Amino acid sequence: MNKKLSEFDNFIDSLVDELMAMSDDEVLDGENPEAVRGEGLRLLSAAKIQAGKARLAAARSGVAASRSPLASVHAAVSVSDARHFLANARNDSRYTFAARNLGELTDDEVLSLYAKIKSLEGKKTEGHN
Amino acid sequence: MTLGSLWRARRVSTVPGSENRLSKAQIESVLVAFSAADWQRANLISRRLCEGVTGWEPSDLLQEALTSFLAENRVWPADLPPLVVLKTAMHSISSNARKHNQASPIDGNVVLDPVALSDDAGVSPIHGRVDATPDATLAAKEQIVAIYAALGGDEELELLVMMWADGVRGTEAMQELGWDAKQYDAARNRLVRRLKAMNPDGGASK
Repeated sequence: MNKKLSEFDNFIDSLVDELMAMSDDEVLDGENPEAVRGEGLRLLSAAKIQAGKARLAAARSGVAASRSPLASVHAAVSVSDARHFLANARNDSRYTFAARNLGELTDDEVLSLYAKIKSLEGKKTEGHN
Repeated sequence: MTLGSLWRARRVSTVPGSENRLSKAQIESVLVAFSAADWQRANLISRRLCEGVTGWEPSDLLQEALTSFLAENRVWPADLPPLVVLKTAMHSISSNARKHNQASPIDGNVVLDPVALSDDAGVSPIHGRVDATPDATLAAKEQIVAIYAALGGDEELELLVMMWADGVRGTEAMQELGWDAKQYDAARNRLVRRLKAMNPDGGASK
C-alpha cells in the first residue's frame, strides 16, 4: 500500500493492474472487437494529424526560436553529449539540481538545463577573473 | 508477438538518455499493435480519469494523451507497460484541465460536482499525485465517493473498491478478502462493468 497516494490514485493504479491481468474476453465483455479497435485507431489517426499540426506550428515559430539562447546550444552541443554531461554532473558535488530522471526529460529540456548550467559556469568563471 | 513482449523487447539499458524511451516511430508501432482489448482497457482508464473534467469526453482525453506523445511533448519510457504510460499521461492532462477549469471566470465544474461542498469551498475537482493541494485531496475523495455511490450497495464490490483504494490488489486482495479466484474474478468483472456504466461525471448511467 502506498500511503503517499490518495485513495483515488491507488484505485486507478489498481484498476490499471487488474485490467492488464484480465483476459481480453473479460475486458471486451461482449463489445465488438473490430469496432473497439477501429475507434482506437481512429483516435490514433486524429492524434497523428493533431501532432503534425503542432509540429508545423512549432516549425513556423522556428525563426523566433533560432534567435533564442537555446538555439545556440543546439548548434554547440548534441543532445546525447548534453545528456552525458548532465548524467556526469548529477554525480559532481559542484552541481546540485533536481534529481528528476534524465531519461524523462525531452531533448529541449536537456538542452535548456545544459545551457543553464553552462551559463552559471560562465558567470562563476567571470566572477573569479 | 504480443503487446507485452513488444514493449519488453524494447527495454534497454537504464542509463539516463534517449535510449530508454521510445521514439515517435516506436510509439506509433506500439499503438498500432494495440489489440481491441488494449484499446478497451485504455478507454476504461480514460473514463475514470476524465470524471468531472468539464467539456471533455473520455475519448478526448485519450486522444490528447496520444497527441502529446506523437508531438514529442511527452516522453514514453521504454521500460513501462503502455497502459501505465497512457494512464500517467491522461492523469496529468486531466489534472491540468481541472486546474484550467478552476482558473476560468466561469466555473464549469459546478454542475458536475457530485458531492456537496461548503459554501466557501468552491468547486475544484482536481486529483492525483500531480497536485497535492487541499483542493486536490478533496477532489480525489469526491471521485472515490462517486465510485462507491455507483456500486448500488453491492457489498462485495464495496469491499473490492476498498482494497484497491488501499493499494491492495490481485492475489493479495483476494487473500485479504478470503475469496477464491472464481469469486474474485467474478467481482472484478462486475466492478469493471459498473465503472464502464458510470457517467464520466460520476453517477451510474445504466
